[in-house]
Amino acid sequence: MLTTIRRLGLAVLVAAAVPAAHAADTYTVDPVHSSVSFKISHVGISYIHGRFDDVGGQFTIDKDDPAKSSFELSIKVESVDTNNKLRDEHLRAPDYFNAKQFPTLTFQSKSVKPVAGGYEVSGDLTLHGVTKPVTFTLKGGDKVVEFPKGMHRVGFTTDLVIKRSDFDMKTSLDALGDEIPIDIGVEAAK
Amino acid sequence: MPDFGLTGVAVLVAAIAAALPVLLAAFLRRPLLVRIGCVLGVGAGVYASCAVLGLRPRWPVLEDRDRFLVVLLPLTLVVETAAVAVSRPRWPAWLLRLVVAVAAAPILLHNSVYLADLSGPHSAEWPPALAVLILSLLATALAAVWALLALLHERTADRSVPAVLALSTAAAGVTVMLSGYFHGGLLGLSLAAALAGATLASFAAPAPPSRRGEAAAPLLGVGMIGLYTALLLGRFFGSLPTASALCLLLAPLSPWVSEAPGVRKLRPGLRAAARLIVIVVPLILVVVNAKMRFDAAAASHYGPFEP
Repeated sequence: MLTTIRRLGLAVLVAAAVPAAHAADTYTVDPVHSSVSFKISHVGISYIHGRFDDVGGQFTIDKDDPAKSSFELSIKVESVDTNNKLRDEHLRAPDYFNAKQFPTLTFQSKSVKPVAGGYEVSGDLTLHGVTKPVTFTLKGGDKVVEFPKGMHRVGFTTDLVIKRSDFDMKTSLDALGDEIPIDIGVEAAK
Repeated sequence: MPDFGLTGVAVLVAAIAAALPVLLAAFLRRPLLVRIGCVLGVGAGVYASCAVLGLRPRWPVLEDRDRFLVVLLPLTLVVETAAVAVSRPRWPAWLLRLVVAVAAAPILLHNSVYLADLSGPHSAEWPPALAVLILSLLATALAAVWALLALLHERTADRSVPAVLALSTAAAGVTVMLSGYFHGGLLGLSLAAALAGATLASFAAPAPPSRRGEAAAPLLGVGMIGLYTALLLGRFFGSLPTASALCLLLAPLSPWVSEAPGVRKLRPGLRAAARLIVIVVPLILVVVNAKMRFDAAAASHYGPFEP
C-alpha cells in the first residue's frame, strides 16, 4: 500500500515537472482594426482603389506546432467601397461580384508553414462562386499585445495578386485590369 | 464602356437566327412546322446572340443568367413545342404552362440570398413563409398576364400581340441595363430581337386572313417568360425599381384597350395600329424615367466624366 502511494506521488511530481503542452490560441478578427483593400487598373493608365468594409474571421495559432495553425477570413461583398455609390452598385451586380448570389468572399487555410517573420499560408480563396488555391506570406504574429486590458490581440499583414478572370469575373477586361493587387491588414483578438 | 457595335451585331444575329427556321418552314408550306419554327427560332436566336456577346453559361450552373439559359429557357421551349404538337385539348398545355409559371421565379432565384442561408443559419433575406408568399405572388402575376395575353391574341387574330411582347422586352432590356445590370439587359435585348425576327418571319407563312395570327401564337409563351426573366433579374439582382418592373410587366396588357366597345368597331388594321400606339407610350415613359435616373446618379457622382 505504502509503495503504491509512493509511486503515485512520484508520478504526480514527474507530471508537474514536464511543461504543459501549449494549447492553440483562437482569435476572432477585429473588423474595426482590419482592412482589405484592392486596386484595379483603369484603361491601363492608372489605378482605382477600393476596400471592403465588412471583414470577419477566425485564426487559430499554435506557436509550438505552427502546422496546426489555421486562418479563416470572410468578407461581405456588399461592403465593397470605391468611394462612388453608383460604381459600387454596379460592382455588386452580376456583371461583377453578383452579391445577391455570392454574398461572401472567403479564405480558408489548408497548410501553414513558419517562415522568417511570419507564416507561409496556402489555402482556398472563394470568390464569385469559384474556389482557387492561393499562397501568400503572412507577416507578423510574433507578438501578442494586451489592448485594452484583458484583451489579447495579434496582427498580420500580407499582400497578394489575383487574376479576376480566374474567378469568372470577365466583364470589361479590356478597360479594367485583370490582375488585382490586394492588401490585407488584420488584427484578431481573444 | 458598353460595346454598342457588338450589341448591334448580336441583336441582328438574334433576329436572323430566329427568322430562319420560320422562313424555312413557311417555304415548305407546313403550318405546323411554322409554329414549331417560331418556338425553336426564338431559342436559336437567343443562344446565337448570347454566343456573339460572350454570354456563355458557366458550368456548373451558378448564376441567374445561366439558370435561364440552361434550365428555364429550354423548359419553356419544350413546353411550347409540346403545346404546338398537341393543340387539342388545350388544358394539358395550360397545365404545363402553369408549372413553368410556378417554377420560373424559384429557378431564377435559386441559391440566392433571398432563398438560401448563404451567410449563416437563418440568413436568407426572405424567411420561409415570406418566400412562399412572394414566389406565389410572382407566379400568379406571370400566369395572369400570360393568360390575358393569350386571350387577347385569340381575339385579335393577328401578330400585334407578339409584336407588343417584343417591344416590351426591348424596353425591359434597356431599362435593366440602365439599372446597373448591363448583361441582364443585353439578355433582354437578345430575346426582344429574336421575338421580333420570328414575328416578322411568320408573315411569310401562308394563312387565310382570319387565321394570320395563329402562326405566331407559340411566341407568346417564350416571349412572356423572356420578359418576366429580364424584369426579375433586373429587380432582384440589379437595381431596377419595383414600380418600373411592374409597369413593364403589365404594359403588354395595355392593348386590351383595342377591345373596348367603341374601338372594337374600327377596322382590324386600325385596331392593330391602336394596340401598338397604346403600348409604345408607357414603354417610352419607363425607359425615359430610367435614363433620367441614370443620368442624375451619374452626374452627381461623376460630373462630366463617364462612369
